Amino acid sequence: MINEDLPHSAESASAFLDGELAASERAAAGADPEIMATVESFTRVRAVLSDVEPVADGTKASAIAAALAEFNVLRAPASRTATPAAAATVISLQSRRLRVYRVVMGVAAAAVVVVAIAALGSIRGEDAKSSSSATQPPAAEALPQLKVAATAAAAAGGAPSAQSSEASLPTVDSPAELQEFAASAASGDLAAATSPARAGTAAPAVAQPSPSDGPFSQAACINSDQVVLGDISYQGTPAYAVRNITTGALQALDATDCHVLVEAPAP
Amino acid sequence: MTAAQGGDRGALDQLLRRHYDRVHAVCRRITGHDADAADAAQDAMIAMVRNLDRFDGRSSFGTWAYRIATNASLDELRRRKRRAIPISGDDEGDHHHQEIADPASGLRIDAIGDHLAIDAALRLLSDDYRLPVVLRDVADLDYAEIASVLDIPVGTVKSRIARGRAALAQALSTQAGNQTPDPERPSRAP
Repeated sequence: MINEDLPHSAESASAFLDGELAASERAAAGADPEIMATVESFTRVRAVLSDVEPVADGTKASAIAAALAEFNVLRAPASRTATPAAAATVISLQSRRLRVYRVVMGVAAAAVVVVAIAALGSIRGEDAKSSSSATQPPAAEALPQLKVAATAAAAAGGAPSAQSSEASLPTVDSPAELQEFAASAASGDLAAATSPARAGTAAPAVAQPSPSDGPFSQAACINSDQVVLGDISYQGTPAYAVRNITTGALQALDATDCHVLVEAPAP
Repeated sequence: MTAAQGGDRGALDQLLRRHYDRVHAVCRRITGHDADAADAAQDAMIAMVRNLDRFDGRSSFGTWAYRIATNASLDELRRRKRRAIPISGDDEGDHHHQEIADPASGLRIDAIGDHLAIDAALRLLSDDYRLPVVLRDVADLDYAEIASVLDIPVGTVKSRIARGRAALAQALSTQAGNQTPDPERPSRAP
């Protein structure tokens, strides 16, 4: 579609339309019918392009409300800590995503603990009925099961071991792979986890993640202009893949302190 | 602007309202999709607030805002890539790509309005051409400002705007039945 051999008249016409020609060039262009015909054509293009359908009032109001809510949060860090639910009416995608993750994992962890406790109780009951002389073995056997269950619960709910976290993380070892990860996130492989809050959607007010809750608690150290694309393992280090919304650059941040492990330009 | 940076919520509200429509228009033309544009514009508004303290006044607020809007739109396009129609590239062997990039494919619909026609025509342009044209004709930035936003030389801006406009004019003209479709594939910027 792009004509690599663009006639000189087109470039002159475009510059004429934009007022980017010197006076002498402008005079010469104005006297050239071919150029002026192209100017007319480009003028129509400009008119159609700039005639964007008006945005719905609700969409505009929602976007501005979201921005102002962000302003409230940024300008009132103390009140956010004290009453987080009241601090923001619109939450970031990242917060919402982490909240859902924590809720699901918390429920799973609670279920595991309940099952383990029930199993322990059952074993103890049977033990009391079946043998008055046997004192230790059944409970002792049950304890490792409980320990395993508790470990699993901890891993799922809020304190994952490095192994459990890293095992499922996508591995990224270079800036190029970081770009590939970002591209895959953009293409939809990870879209469910990275899509933003829809404009016009009233999001519930929730607490911001605190430094002590959940496996992603350190996400609090991510800067306000960074958008998390996903969790990765960068050269073996648990990390966040983020995009700077201002510059478009990609970074892998150490999950523990958000130290920049590697940076890559936008793909 | 200064009042907003100083924490005046009302001033910020006014600032955002004043620029929202144009920011949304830029997002709309870059993304080519209403919902994506709404999302990108909202993201841009939030990013402006988050980065308000970093605005140093070296460029106009509008230029700064459109830079953020452009990046937010490109981010939105990347996130929604599965829904977008790829329209450029050097992969001449990609027949699927070639098929959907046919300039006439989106333009042969009878009774199509100008809005749909320009969306279809814009989809035929790669970002290299679409962004400068949109920033010029929708955001009304001058060449130097566009060069700053896109981080390319002014001469390149001038050339890409001219080529982009020529391609759009041809596509719109084709849609109107005044010309035969250009069989050339879309191509990346040199």
